[in-house]
Amino acid sequence: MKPEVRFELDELLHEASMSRQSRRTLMQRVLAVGGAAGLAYVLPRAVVAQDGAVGSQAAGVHVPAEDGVELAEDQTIRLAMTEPKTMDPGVSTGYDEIGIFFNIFDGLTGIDMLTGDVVPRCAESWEVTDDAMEFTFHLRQDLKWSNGDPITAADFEYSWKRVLNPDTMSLYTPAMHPIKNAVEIDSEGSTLTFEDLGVHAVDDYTLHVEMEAPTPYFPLLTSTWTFSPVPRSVVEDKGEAWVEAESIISNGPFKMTEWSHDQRIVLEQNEHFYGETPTITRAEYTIFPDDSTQEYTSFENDELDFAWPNSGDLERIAGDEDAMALVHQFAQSNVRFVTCDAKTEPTSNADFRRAIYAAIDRDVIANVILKGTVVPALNVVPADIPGNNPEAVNPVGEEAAKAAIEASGIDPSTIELEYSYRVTDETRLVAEYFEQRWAEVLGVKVKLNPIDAAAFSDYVNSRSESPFHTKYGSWGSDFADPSNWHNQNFASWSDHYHLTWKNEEYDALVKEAGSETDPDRRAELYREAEVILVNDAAYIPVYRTIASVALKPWLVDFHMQPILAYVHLRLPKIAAH
Amino acid sequence: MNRTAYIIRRVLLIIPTMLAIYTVTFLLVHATPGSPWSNQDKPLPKAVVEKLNAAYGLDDPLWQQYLNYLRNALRGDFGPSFTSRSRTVADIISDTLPVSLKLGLVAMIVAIFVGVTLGTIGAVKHNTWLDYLSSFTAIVGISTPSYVIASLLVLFFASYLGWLPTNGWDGIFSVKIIIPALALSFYPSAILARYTRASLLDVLSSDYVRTARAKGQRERTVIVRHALRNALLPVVTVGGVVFADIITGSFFVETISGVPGLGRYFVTSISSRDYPVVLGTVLLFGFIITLMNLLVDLIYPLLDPRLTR
Repeated sequence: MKPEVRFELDELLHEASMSRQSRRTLMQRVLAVGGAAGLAYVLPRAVVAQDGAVGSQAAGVHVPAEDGVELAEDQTIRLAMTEPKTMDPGVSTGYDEIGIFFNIFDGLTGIDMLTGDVVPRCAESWEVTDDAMEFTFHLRQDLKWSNGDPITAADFEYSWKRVLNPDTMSLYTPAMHPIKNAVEIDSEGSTLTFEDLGVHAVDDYTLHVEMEAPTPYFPLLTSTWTFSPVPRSVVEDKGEAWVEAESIISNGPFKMTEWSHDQRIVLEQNEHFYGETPTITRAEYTIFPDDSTQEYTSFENDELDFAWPNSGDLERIAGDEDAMALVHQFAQSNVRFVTCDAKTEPTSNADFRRAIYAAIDRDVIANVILKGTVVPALNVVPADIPGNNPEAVNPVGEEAAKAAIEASGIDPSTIELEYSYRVTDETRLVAEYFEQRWAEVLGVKVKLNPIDAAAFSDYVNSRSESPFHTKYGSWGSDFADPSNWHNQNFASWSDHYHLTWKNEEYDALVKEAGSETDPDRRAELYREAEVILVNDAAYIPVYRTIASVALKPWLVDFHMQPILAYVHLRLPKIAAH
Repeated sequence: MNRTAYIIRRVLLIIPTMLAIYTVTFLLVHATPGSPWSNQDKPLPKAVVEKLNAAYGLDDPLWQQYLNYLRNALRGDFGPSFTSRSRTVADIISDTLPVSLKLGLVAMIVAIFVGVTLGTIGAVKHNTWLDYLSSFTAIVGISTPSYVIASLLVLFFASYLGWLPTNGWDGIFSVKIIIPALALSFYPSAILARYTRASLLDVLSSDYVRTARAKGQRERTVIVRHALRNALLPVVTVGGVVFADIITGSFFVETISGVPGLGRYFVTSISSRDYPVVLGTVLLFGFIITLMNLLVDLIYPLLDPRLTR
């Protein structure tokens, strides 16, 4: 059974939007249940509404410069990151280095940080066939690498095919899967090689791409880092070490001039960049140890211009108006859910799953357990994704839970319900809440099964064959399209979370929606699908996280989108201070 | 016992020791659940994982991996790093070990100065309030973990006073080294103070010191010239072990202070299941500790001729 397109811009991209937050939540020292006092620090200037409903224009962080602002002489921005795994955009599964990719590489398309829209970058324009099966990109003629060499369509063809070349050992080959033949190339025993990928440089400035299935949102994908061009001559000459500062050349508004491992990365302007010269002349990224809790302390000590405070920091500065005035918060485009085994009793029973859904008091989790660092989620797809359906909710509360248990015909006193989760401070607190709450409301015994972070995905991957009851799951948008949620995760041919859940009607709807080119009709189909998804309750949404960032007052014209929330350096300026 | 034979025996003993360290570490890392490719929220596709396993030889039988790594390690090749793709384990060690050594050296110098001074005061002003104060300081130093000290120093000197940066590294001549070096030196200072005090007290009651005093030498000369010189012998020997401790135990301080040393790889490579880095750093640390112990054993008789008699 071959899925039409098993495109999972997932793990990879996933980390992109989530890693900052999840790594930070990991170290959050969230205090045990402590009343509503913790709420005080939430939502200072936030645009977060109930259920993370954020107008797409307002989402993220937007700090425009005041008229006539005087700029500082030294336009150096000081940022924090962790040691990158690699600087190779074709390989990376995304940690902090993605933030660097967006500044030193430039793809065919990009995302406008003000609006979140797809905009032309290396490609001046593109055409798509009516069936969304073929794209023709027209490249600018003034593209150059940071060493002055020209860039042509052949560089893009080489770079994309290289991702699928087994010698590249890319961690993110699924990024290419929407392109024709990619899935086949990637599968075992295939007779096709990476040279058969459906991308072709027609001439120096024209790139033709054939898709595996209709992919109307493809220009959104080409804005992601895996589709960046890489310099063939350097890659072939230096091997994996081509990304070190001594060798690397790139094509973005900045170039990397220093990478002192575990210490700092320095970017400087790329004088060969075709576009507008950024105001920032130099970016210094201090590399913190992975589990650092000191980023915000450094920020307070004026060593950084931008930082991600953790919840401990937020709690500490809650009463400090001056400090809080620098903090901006926004709902992230993600969900944390409980996923249920659809093949094993008792969670194979949809009524029983609805009882679990109903028993969770999301307000308690958001406001008491996690102290306002998250917002409740009743439907699955977040509000900033087109085709999300905030009305796709099930009844909640103790009454509803008891009714659902009754409907299931299951005697709860005979059930020992297992919940497995990837251990972090956040998930542990939530799991302990489930343990107590499900026992109390559903009348079942609950058995918690904490799993080390490094072992959790092995656990998940083996669930199609092995029974379980319920387990932790999370998803963050890789790009603003509902297919990134439904088709890549929940459809039975993807079954990303290995639940063996299948609903014919749902599958048919998302399949149709995936190749529908009329945006309104497409959104409508996805809204219908989400009703079924939530009602069947194999995926039980619980909450979405809130991101907090701190900006020095002199950092202006700063714009950050909620998806792939990284510091883009094209627009910001340092005001005189 | 014949001294040369003793030395040869001790040196040869390093081989089974290292082999045992390698074997135990190898078995432990592979017995730990999880894999280098699974430490993320969203799992990698199976095809990618298989490709990676094949590329890094992780699909070979375990005994073969055991022999392969051993063979390569003997040739000085400690393999690639799974998490830092453009570098090998050798690259990581050659980048980070010098940093740890430099920081350790500075901390050691501070520790010797502080420790010997405190210990001497304690012994000379035996059973006075000065002695109690220096003993108390030493006990606080021994019982307070370095990460607590480091955090407190950051809190006080960086966050509160704003005199020093909260973290970073720019070599040993930068102010950034002050906090990590102080934090790292606390424990060894305390250990050295205790040893110096005990040993100096012992020496001060010996005959030759009484003789020196009887000759009418100034107390200061008696202590510095005669007593301290001999009293420091056991201190020197413990110093070797303490130094190995500083180098290998700097993880927390390096992490808190953002020092790009080897300590953080020693620990983070375990949670990321970066097998070659785990094995490389454990073998290196094992070797350093074994070597320091050996040196101490070899030097001790040289410093104290009574032992060879």
